[in-house]
Amino acid sequence: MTALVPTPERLELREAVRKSLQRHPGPRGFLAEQPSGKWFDASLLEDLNRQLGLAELLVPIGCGGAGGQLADAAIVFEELGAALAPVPLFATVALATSALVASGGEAAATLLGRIARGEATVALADARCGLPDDHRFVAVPRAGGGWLVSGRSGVVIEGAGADVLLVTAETGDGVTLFAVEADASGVQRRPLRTLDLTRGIAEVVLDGARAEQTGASGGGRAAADLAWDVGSVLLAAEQVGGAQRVLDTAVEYAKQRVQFDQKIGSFQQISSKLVDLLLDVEMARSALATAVDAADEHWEDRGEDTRLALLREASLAKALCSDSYMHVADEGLHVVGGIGFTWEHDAHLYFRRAKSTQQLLGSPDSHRERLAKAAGL
Amino acid sequence: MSVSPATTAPSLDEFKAEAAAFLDRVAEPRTEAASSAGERQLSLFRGSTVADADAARAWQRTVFDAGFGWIDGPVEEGGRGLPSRYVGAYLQVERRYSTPQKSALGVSLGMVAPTLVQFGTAEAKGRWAEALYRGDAIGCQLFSEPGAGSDLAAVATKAVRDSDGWVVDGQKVWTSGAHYSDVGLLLARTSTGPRHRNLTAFLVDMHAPGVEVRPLRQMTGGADFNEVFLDGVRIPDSHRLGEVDEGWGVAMATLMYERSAIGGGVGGGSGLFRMDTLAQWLREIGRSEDPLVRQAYARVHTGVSAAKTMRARAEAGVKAGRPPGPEMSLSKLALVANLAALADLVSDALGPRLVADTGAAETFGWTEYVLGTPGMRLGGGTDEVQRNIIAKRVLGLPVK
Repeated sequence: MTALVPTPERLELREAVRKSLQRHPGPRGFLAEQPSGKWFDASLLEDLNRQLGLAELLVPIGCGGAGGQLADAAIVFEELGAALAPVPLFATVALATSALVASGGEAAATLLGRIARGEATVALADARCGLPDDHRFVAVPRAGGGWLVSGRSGVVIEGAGADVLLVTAETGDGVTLFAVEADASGVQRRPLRTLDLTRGIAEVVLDGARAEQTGASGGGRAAADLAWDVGSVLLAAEQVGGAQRVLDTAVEYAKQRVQFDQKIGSFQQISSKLVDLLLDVEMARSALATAVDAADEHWEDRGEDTRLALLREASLAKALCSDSYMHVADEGLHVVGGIGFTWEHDAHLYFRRAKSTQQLLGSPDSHRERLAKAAGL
Repeated sequence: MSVSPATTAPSLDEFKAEAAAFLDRVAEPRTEAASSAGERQLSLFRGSTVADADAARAWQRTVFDAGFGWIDGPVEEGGRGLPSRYVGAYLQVERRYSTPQKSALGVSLGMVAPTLVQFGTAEAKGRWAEALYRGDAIGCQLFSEPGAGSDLAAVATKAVRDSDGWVVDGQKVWTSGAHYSDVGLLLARTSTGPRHRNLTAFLVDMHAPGVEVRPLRQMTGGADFNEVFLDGVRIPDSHRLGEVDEGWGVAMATLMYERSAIGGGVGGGSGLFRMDTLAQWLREIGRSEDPLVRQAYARVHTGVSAAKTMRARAEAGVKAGRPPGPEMSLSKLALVANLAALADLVSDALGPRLVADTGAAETFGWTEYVLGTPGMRLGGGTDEVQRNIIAKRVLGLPVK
């Protein structure tokens, strides 16, 4: 198992991401209080892409990328989650890149090249993000080549600012993956008000938008499913990073804050709570490590056995890390007390992220059901 | 002793082949049927009887005489003198065989013997070390008292100097296996000095005049522990472990052995957390379709898997040269959380069949398990004490 203990290279990567994040102002200046779509820090995104090559991290070397492992990406998303970094990397790196790698083919390779060069951010519009009724696209062949896609998706993560939309759409040959340039005619996007003020979500409506098939006919479901499983693992990494940061903040506060003439950390009510949160974080980190290894094994061999293992471990990690983060964000806020309930304190930003990621990409209960089934129950 | 110490160490593969050859002679290979659900051990506290202890002694003697009873012990004290990775190698081979239940020797070999080897005088080791490892003697732990539970340093049992030895008076409680033990690892007060510097550790002969063992019945209905009364019991000074008034350090070492045993073995070892077996059981009792049962099952699965990885991370960290972290104490908290999750699953799955014995197989028997779970939160240092330790040592909080 490789993700159990980070290698020196990965510790360096962690440090480099951390330093880049520290050079930028953080999420406060970019809070999406209004549905403007301008929730992200463009200069931070450019910094992360140019200096650390995060966009190309998971793109295969053959497509012009860095050919990194999921274990590398997990380190990155841990740090992005810890800092609540306002950058639209999750959709491009975790979801779209995985879907395109799973799809294969020339069109997918070309788009992966654009991602790697930092020329395009890509969002994935698929039924598994929202509720089943919330997503329906139909593709018809276009006279003279290509396809025309129409329909609507209610929840597209980081969809408002993406340059390209990857869409799963019905065709006569089953669900297939298509790429739509966001500036094409017939594309409408509406940034939505979001619980998590540090991540954009959009509604996407397509009305006969020109689209390019990116993968085998009828292969869209499998490609998107892999994207959601890899996405679940990397979202779990964000959750672990966020939970660790909330815990660290609460522990530091408990060592400083004085009430009843004592540091509040000396009260067993507080210290026991913090130990429980540490256990939450360590259990979440452990589930994540197993899931990252399962993801890398499948990323490497593309076999059926490793695919099933990834499904099981991704659901296990997503369920556990979601619940852990929510618990840590809630109880960590309470250690900080009244100030944690103010707008100015960051506790609510983590609380919002925890609640939002808990429900995105499948609720903990739905992942537990998936795990039970995968385990043969 | 029938085996002469090795002059040159065998390779791991040679050693495993030697172990397999020995086990082929004395044990049957483990079969699927033998490890199936039917034989599953559902009680967390299954105290051993004198007969269990005798069977364990006989098996340990066979294992020891073949050279596998004290693999990593010093040759001059009766051990085989091999590195500790050979212990793991032997256990790996032994798991393939159906061998007698050894839990009667758990405290003896897991806690008492290593403490003796670490702190004992040459005379004490000569008297007890090989005997313990050969199963000729069994050891128990005499730490807790009615007035010294979580606060172990409050031990009130007194040891007073008397010519060439000591005289002990007091009462111990929660002693596993005292009714079949030959020697006790005793913590007693030897001075009026400051806390943590007034206790001394001894080995006491459990057959000596003045030692009385009474069974203690716990909430499951079984009597798997004892009270031990010590009334003018004499101990030679050579059976003292460590320096006078420095018994606290000895006790801490013993508790480290205990915590590693509790965090590691229970549950996983008894097969309670085998998720495929649990899934099969839920199908057999017709409860696998209930969505709430499925959620409860997945919660156990999730916790057990993460706890296992947490231990693996701790071990990988130590191998990578990092100092041992908080994982032992965290592992115990994770274990009890998983035991609670399993109790929830079992309760959801059985409902009324857990409440009254309908005679159906694999149902009411789970009451043994459910009633045992509170004891796991208490044993090996209560959860509350574990949290205090972690708060202080890991999080650096100013806990008093």
